Amino acid sequence: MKKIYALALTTLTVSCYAETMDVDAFKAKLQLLDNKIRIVKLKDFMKSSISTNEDQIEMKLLIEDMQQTKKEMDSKGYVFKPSPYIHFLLNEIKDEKTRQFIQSKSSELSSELSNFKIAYDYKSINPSFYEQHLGFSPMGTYVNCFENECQEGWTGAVEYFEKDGLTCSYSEHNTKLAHGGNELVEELITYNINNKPTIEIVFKDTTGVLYNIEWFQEDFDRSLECASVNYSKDNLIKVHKFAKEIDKK
Amino acid sequence: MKLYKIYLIPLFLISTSTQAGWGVTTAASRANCMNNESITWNSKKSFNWKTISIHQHVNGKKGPYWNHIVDTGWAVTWRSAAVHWGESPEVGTYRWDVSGYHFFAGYANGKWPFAENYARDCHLYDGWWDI
Repeated sequence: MKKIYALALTTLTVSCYAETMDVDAFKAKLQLLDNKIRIVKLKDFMKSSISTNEDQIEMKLLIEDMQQTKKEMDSKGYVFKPSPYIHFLLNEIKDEKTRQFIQSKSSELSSELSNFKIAYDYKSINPSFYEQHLGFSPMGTYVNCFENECQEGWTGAVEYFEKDGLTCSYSEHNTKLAHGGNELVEELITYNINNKPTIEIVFKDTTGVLYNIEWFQEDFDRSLECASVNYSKDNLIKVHKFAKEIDKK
Repeated sequence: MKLYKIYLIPLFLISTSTQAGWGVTTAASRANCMNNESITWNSKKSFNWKTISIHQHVNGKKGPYWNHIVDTGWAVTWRSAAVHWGESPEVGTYRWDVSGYHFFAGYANGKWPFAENYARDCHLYDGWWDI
């Protein structure tokens, strides 16, 4: 029961007020990063998103969390934090019966990319790259054309696969189509994946380890998340190598 | 264009809408669907998300309550739902436009936004399913 209350409290919001406003002025005030990458100092992170005291408190806490995460990453190589996605990769997506069950009940996962409509020419990972492919899922948002001429479909896709003892998901999101944009923290990024701005973080919990690398370029965000039961630096090196190869696909 | 901005009261019910993708993040808006709504969703991960849903009535200048904004504020969640419950009871008629803005803030990265979308109907688009 506690879980249900916690879930409701964390997922559903909010407060009540009303005032007149101008939509165009409101959108301009948001300073949306439409397909742009902006690199800022940690102290300036998401300044444009702060409009209330609550926002300010939230961002302050997030910045403190980032500093703590960096400290742990530098000292141990990982952050100890519960991450259900580790269990998902190691026990659900990897399990054939679970995959078959999901595929029989819905189209959330498919072994064929052609079962999803993607709004651009998505190039999947070359089959020679992995040992076993575990399926595709759509991601992002769905572009509707209505009476306009455009290509309808999802703005991204995810592929699951196994390689060298790791279970991985690769996500690609088209920021041009989604009108997405990224603000990155100068002190926390590297350029490790083919000289593109890169974020690296490793999560460890009681179920295993998640090696997470996300890299950015004009029009696309890409991320690779690989799970293993135990932590090893070799695995992180492998994931770097995978990301560099996938980036060239 | 003048709008009315309304933040909803706490709601302890799960919406009738939707899930999509297995373990991936999706963002959608729906209009004229009993509710008008913009939802950011990931069934396997929680993130620090904020969703803003702008609801514009097709005859929006008729009165102050005809247009407004629903803003979830920042919250760590697997489902950030900016929903105006029961705003469009005339399901299937075209009365409202909904624009969704889905934001993310995490380690070293703020997605401002992750995605934008626009809806004027209630379709469960390819990949969206009722719970």
